[in-house]
Amino acid sequence: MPRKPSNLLYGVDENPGAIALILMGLQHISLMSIAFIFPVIIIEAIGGKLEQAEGLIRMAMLATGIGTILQAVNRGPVGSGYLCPLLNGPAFLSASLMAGKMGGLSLIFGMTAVAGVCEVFFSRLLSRMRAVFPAEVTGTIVTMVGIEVVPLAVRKFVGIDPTHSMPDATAVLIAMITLGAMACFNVWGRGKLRLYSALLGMVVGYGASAAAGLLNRDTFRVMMEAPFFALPAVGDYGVSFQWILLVPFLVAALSSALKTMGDLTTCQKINDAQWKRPDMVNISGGVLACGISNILSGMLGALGQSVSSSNIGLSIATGATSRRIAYSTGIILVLLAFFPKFASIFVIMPTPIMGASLIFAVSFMILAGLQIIMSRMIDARKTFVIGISIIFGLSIEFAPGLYRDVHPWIKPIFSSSLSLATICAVVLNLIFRIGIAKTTSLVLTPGEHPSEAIDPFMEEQGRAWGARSEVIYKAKAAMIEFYEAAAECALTRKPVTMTVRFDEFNLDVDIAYEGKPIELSASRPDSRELLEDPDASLRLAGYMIRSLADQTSMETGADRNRVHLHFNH
Amino acid sequence: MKIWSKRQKDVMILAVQGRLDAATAPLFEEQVLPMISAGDKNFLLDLAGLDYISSAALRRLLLFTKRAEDQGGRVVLLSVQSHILEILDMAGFTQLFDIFADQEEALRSF
Repeated sequence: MPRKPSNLLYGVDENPGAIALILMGLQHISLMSIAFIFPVIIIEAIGGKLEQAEGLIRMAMLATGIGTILQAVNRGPVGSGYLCPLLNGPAFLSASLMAGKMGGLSLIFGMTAVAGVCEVFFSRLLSRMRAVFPAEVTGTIVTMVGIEVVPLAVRKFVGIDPTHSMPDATAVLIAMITLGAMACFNVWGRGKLRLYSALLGMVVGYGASAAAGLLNRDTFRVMMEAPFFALPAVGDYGVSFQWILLVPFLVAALSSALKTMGDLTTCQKINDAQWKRPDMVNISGGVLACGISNILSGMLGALGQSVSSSNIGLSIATGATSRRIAYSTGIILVLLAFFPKFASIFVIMPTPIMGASLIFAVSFMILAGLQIIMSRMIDARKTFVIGISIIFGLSIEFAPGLYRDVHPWIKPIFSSSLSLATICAVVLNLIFRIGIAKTTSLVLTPGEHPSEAIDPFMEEQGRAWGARSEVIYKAKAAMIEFYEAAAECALTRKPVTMTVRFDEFNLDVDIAYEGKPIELSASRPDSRELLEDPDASLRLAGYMIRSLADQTSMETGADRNRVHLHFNH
Repeated sequence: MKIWSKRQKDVMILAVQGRLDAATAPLFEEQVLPMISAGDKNFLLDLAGLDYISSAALRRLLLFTKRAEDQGGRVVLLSVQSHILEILDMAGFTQLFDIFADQEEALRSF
């Protein structure tokens, strides 16, 4: 049963109340609105009309609204049960541009539906792939999920958008005021002020934008001209299919599924103070929800969807992760698809406010990834898995155009720092697993200092296995307790063999020795006994070993004893 | 294992660093018991630098505390790391000692 972390105001199962749900839903949509730029990019690239872009944005609201609700469902096989909004993100951009140029919107929608079917199949395989995604791989993916948004966030922070190609001092000032306000409300604000820190920061940003003249009559004209009510143009463009586009959309679906995996790992971690490892069954349900949402997107006439990392960052920042916020966000999005006048409010958000909002949310996302990485002990193998993956992921941002000439089929991998880092991390993890023994032994000879032998042995093994440091510490302490007691109380005068076995869920220590059996006492001696009874030391050691391990057992032979210590991992 | 000592009024502050186990506990005893013989009776053990403590060392710590109390003094603990605190708690030692996070507060308790 997950335990709610103390920094959350509203945990995943809690109900913040109707007004808070509406306000937090709007707060999430404000951040999601940044992604409305992707339909515009697609339409511009295929030479479409502005009305088509507006229609595509409303279809995005309808499809992602349903997707966000599906993702939050916590009963049955579909959905992860978390607040993890979906949007028309960059995962499908490259493949959609290819399809758009080749066969227009109908081909984009048809291939998006096919990608959704692939994602559904992929979701069924995920629960059997635990070994492929240890903590250092998922942590790297989550970190890169945040880092991938950085170039977009920083460009918008300095005011760069389709109409401004250079940084603008006024935009930077507005972005700084917005980000400063968000940070102040979040750090020094209490209760509601922290809960709505992003929304309040945006309000301050809008005020600053109005004062600087960024919000003028032209900006509001889009809103004024939009109709109050209109039915979304569902399936107007139809669907078509081209075999040649199957690989790019398959890769896009895989990228989207891996991103979902990273994001849902973060959701699990931020909602459980005792989080240890990704719950792959829950992630399968989440990827299945994404797959179904993409099939729906294709059928309705919307672009491919993937989960929004920025919104997870926002929920960490505000301390509100209730799944009811996902329901309210989804419902508001669906309603906005029918009311273009209100929908246009989110389309006219000034660029620097978008940049400040992204930087605010991404800060939390990157830290969440680094925390997952550091939850395990790190050795040279893991350093390479993490380091090389992040370096090659970042190469896409640092050296634009470097992978320009790769084959179009695999272009989606090389057009996203997240996708490339993910593929690197998964492949390197599999390669570096070669030669790691899951069972290893240590023989301690009489007179040997237990700490000097056991400490480095367990540290090295712990790092090679990627074990949790606190579990290795407990196992070390129990092994040292045993050997000290054996030496001090003359249980044995012969070598002691300690065999350690590890898998992701278990750490087992078998201690084999010749001599007298040790009593793993269920009760500890009191302070008087410890001072007066010479046997109390051995009883305390036996009690400590029993308490440090999660399970203990003993086999006593004629002259050979085995102590088995089990530690949950 | 290393011990740094500093006297503040009538309290001897001992900062213990490294590991306290069967091998190092006798060294601990050798350094601290003579202080009681020399007249010190109130001790503040700063355990921020302590990496590990075994049951053999816990017994010596208890003996040291008993000697100090026999002289009318006390031993209190300061800045105990979480994994050491878990060991102390397991052994029932958290009921025997006052444990502080702040040195000024610990000194005021004497």
